[in-house]
Amino acid sequence: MSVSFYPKGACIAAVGQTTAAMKAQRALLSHHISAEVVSLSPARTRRGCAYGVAFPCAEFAAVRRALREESIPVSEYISGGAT
Amino acid sequence: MIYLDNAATTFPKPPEVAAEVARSISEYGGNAGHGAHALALAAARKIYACREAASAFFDLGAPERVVFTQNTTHALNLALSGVFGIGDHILISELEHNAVRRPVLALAQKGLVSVETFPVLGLDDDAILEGLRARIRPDTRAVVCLHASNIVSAVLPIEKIGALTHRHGLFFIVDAAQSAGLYPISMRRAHIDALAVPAHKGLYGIQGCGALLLGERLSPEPLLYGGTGAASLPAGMPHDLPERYEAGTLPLPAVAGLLAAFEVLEKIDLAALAEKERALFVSARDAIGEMPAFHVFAPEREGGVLLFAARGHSAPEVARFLDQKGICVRAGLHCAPMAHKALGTPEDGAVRVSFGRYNTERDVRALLDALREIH
Repeated sequence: MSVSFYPKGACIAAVGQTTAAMKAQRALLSHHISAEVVSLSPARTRRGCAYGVAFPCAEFAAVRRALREESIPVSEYISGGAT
Repeated sequence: MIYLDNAATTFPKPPEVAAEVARSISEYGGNAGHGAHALALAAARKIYACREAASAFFDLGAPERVVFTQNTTHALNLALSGVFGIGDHILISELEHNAVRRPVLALAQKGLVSVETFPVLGLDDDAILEGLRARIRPDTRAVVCLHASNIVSAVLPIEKIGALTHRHGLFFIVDAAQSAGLYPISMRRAHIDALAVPAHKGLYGIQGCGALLLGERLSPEPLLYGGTGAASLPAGMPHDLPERYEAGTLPLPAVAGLLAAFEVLEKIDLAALAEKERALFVSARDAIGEMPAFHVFAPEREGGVLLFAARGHSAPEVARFLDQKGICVRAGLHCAPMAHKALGTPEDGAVRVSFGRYNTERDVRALLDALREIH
């Protein structure tokens, strides 16, 4: 059985704590970009668990612009939902 | 039952608040920030929405700088944590509650700071500002003061004080325990660096949480160390706000109730509410002032809080008598011994009547009828 962990073709902006993830999700939704709060593996961040927002990779440029505009620091962009 | 102790905690709460608290327990009670399953995220969304509402209501402009605390006292202790160095001078008003007085004096007792009070009673705004200005020294670092007193209806001119502290490069830390939800507060306009508020008083949320709204200039040290649900490996607390100051599980029911309380507040005319409380105060003050058995303190300050003492009876005796008549008031020093001293109340304090959103003239009449039985 194949298990899908994240939306197919999703990229993830890793932002750290929950509040930042909530703020990022709100920012993307206000730019009409679908976004979902997800947790990231501790192995990925080397700092323990973290949160991020998953979004369609096709929106990468718009996401980066929107999160910059809202001054939301992104520690890492992860492509293809690989965590 | 007639409830006239709204300065301690407002009662009753709006039905919308009670309903949301109940929903948080039965429908979305996950642990916000501690997991990414549906209920944890539902809780996190509610808490973030409350940060947004608080940030907007107090004109902070940054939801992530709304830090949830146990209560206002906790928020004030956090605002003062690790901010001051040896030799710093702090100014507080003569009306401060122990929520400001004790943490500031604790810093003084550690030999870190010196503390000086500035006068408020019997002064107009200009005279208050002049007294404050005269006490600012080269080593003054902050003004820490309440917005509204918890024992009389004194309200400090925080926008003018903020303009003064801003001109002198001082931190401005405000205790809004008695004013949040009753008087408008704009953190940006008043140059407030930290605003401490309770959920359960004028905002009409429930007991169990308060908040510290932090401006960008103030970076206190955490008071609590522990888990925040993410970035668990480093030994230190994360730098991200608000989690840096929010170790452990947040009180979701209280925060959800506070969010509902903000939504109720959107439909309320604050000026009309303050005027209603002032009118109740005037009715009670004028009548009690004519009774020979009583003395009213600071009668010229009109608002929601009335303080009086009985000649020949202690304040607790009067409060107990009123309680037997089904009227809830509070007697004593109200955790504000400095303010009582400034007012010159008797050794056993005074009786405080504090009005709220749901009080009416009928409540005042019941209070007056009961007091007329005291000789």
